[in-house]
Amino acid sequence: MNCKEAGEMLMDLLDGQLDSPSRQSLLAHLAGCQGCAGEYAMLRRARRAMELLIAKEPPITTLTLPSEPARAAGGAAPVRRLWRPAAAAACLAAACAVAALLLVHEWTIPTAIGKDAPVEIRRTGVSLTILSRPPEWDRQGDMTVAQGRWKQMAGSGQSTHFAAWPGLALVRDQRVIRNIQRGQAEVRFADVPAGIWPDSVRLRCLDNDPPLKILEQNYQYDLASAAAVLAKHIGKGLTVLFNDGQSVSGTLLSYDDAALVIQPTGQGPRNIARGELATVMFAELPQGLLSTPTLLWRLANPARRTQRQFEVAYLTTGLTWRADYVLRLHPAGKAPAGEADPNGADQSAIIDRADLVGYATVVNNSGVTFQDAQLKLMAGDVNLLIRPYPVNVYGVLVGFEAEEERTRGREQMVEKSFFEYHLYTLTRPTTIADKETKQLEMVSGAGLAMRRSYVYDPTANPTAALVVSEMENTETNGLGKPLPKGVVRLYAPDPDGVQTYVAQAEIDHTPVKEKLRLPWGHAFDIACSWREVDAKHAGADHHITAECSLRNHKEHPVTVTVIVHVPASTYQAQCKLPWHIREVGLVEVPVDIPAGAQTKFMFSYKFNNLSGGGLRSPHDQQRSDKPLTEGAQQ
Amino acid sequence: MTNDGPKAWLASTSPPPPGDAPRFRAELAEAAPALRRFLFGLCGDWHRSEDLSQEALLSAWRKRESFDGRAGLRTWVFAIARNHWLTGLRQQARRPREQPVNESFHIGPGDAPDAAAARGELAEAVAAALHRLPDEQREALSLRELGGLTCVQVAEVLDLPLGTVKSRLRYAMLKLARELEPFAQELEP
Repeated sequence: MNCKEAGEMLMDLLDGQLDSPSRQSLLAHLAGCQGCAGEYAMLRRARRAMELLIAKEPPITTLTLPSEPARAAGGAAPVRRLWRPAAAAACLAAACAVAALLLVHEWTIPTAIGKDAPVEIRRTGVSLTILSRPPEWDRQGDMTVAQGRWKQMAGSGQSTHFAAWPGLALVRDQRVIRNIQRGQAEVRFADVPAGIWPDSVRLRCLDNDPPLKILEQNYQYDLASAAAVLAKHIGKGLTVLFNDGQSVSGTLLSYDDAALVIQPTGQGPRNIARGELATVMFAELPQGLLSTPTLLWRLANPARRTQRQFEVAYLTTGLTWRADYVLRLHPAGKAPAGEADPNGADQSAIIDRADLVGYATVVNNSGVTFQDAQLKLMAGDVNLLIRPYPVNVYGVLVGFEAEEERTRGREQMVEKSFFEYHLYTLTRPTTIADKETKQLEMVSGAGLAMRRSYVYDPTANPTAALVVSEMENTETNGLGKPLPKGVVRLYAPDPDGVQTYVAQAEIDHTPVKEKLRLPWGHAFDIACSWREVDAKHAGADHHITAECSLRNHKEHPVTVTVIVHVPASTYQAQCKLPWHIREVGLVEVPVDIPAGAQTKFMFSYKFNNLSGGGLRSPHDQQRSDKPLTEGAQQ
Repeated sequence: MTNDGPKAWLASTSPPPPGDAPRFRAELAEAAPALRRFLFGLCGDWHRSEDLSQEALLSAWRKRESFDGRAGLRTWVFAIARNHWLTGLRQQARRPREQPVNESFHIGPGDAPDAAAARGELAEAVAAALHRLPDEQREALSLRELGGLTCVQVAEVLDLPLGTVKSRLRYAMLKLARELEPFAQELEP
């Protein structure tokens, strides 16, 4: 046997199709011929490779055959027979056999078209916990780690400034998945916000079967926006139609907001301004672009059930909330506009009555409409941002299994304290559509007593006094609820009784039993002036004398607290009126001014740059209540 | 003497007479997995091969009255599937080339076995190597090795002399083995 003959028989040897003598002589040849033996080894490896391919074959999923044709109409009519046990047993046995046969068939090929319906996921419920804007966000200067994180998450490389807080919310998305087979499946989890943080996605099963697991997750955010489609077409062909009806086909070289650079076939590149273009036509939509942000999962379903309930929790940007308050002043009964201080301690103090309503303003820019969502708003400065990963806030939020006590009260939102923060839960589901700003009543209080006072700080405004309202956040005062940071808008009835917008002020997170201080603006009818009338200097020693003049043009007496800023090295001060040291370098002088009168006083102080300090007021021991000054600081 | 195992025995049993729909159907169902494997060899994508099998099976079912029983049913169905595939190729040549959807593993023409090896998937490497064979070799090899047809049946489906089929198969397997040289150790039986 030569090598040519042996080569022709090698396949038959591999297939086991040779008769015994031929096999013997071929094997003898292979034993002596390295070339043919090598070729036979290669054939065996190729066979093994093909077997391996078959071994890795995935199971048949959707293959179906048409159902049995209906029996011909001309078939024999069924004959009615008497029921006999033997016949029944035979029928039963036959039925079992058919059923077994069908089962076998079902195992290889599902027999009904449409039996393997596609996997579908539906949302059954959703709960949102929206966080308030953290204080780091307002910090000026370099981009903080937080903002860097945001930038990274948002994937926007263009801007280094984060003017607006992008929002942060924990979404708990309850969904039901149908037609998921036992084993692994690829599932598209769509209808998620574009700002989702993919690394925060957690899946929890809500049924009792062995839990679903995410084996792999891809977040596909390459949406088919105009820019994304153009970017995918760089180096590919397209056709542009001009406004005048002409067209050019060529390869897209580059593009920006102003122009496209196209190289028509066989010509040099051409810069085409966007304004000239009527239409850009692409040959096809490139692969990998989606119309909505989608999480692509490989899920493992260890249970036999094909319908599973689960909850996915994730953090996302795009949802913000803020507190807005409306403060309505009660009409003034008589001059002075307000009531006398009930304690009678301060005859010139003005007490206003007002109603406060706090609204939560929820803004949804997430790209997804949350239908009938359970809404929770978290108030407090959540310190999540300085960490590069949101693990801790996630743990805090998810770990907190709030007792969902359904309050049947009239209040829309129930406040509960949670960890170091306050959580406001809406007691009914609400729909927050995409691009919607929704206002929900959060807190309210009626008939709140507010003490009005005036503060004159020459360094802030040399000619006018600031009006500050102060109220106690207590239940006895009709409030007693934690107030999230927000803007308070003051409305007061004008002389015709019409509620008119007066001013607005910002408040910080205000716990119960704290005082709320609202600086409104400057009083029209109180004229103020401050001037230094004398300054003596002897080495490091200085002696300054100033004159303050306050004129009250109102029809009732007022008390104005004058703020005097003195150097920290002040060691002596003199004034004919009682004065108090608020803090180092800050002196307050409460001044009573009768209606329509003027009050003038001199204030002199001495300081030494080398050995000064230690100023004491002779009036501080007598003083029990501290005047308001914080408002003046703002 | 030939010994092709139970599959070949199944294929060589007498074909169902026209009109015996349940038997016809049962035999189609029997042939379906092998048909899908053969089509995977052609297209390189399990999902696509399933779609193609579906088309071929439905087409065979509709044409069952025209099945004359001269060739075996299996040969007949494989020939239908191959015709579908070739028609699709011709239509595709007229259309812009369609990118395969990467659902399960799919091996494109540019996917060299080495790259697949880097992923540590021997099966992928094999599929890639298979895809790099010339079309006529891949076709014959897929019919024989994946579809489980005998050489005679392959010759019937391809309408070629038996000798041509055998030499094609031999060259295809040698080329495949050369492509998979880096995996020689793993592929030793």
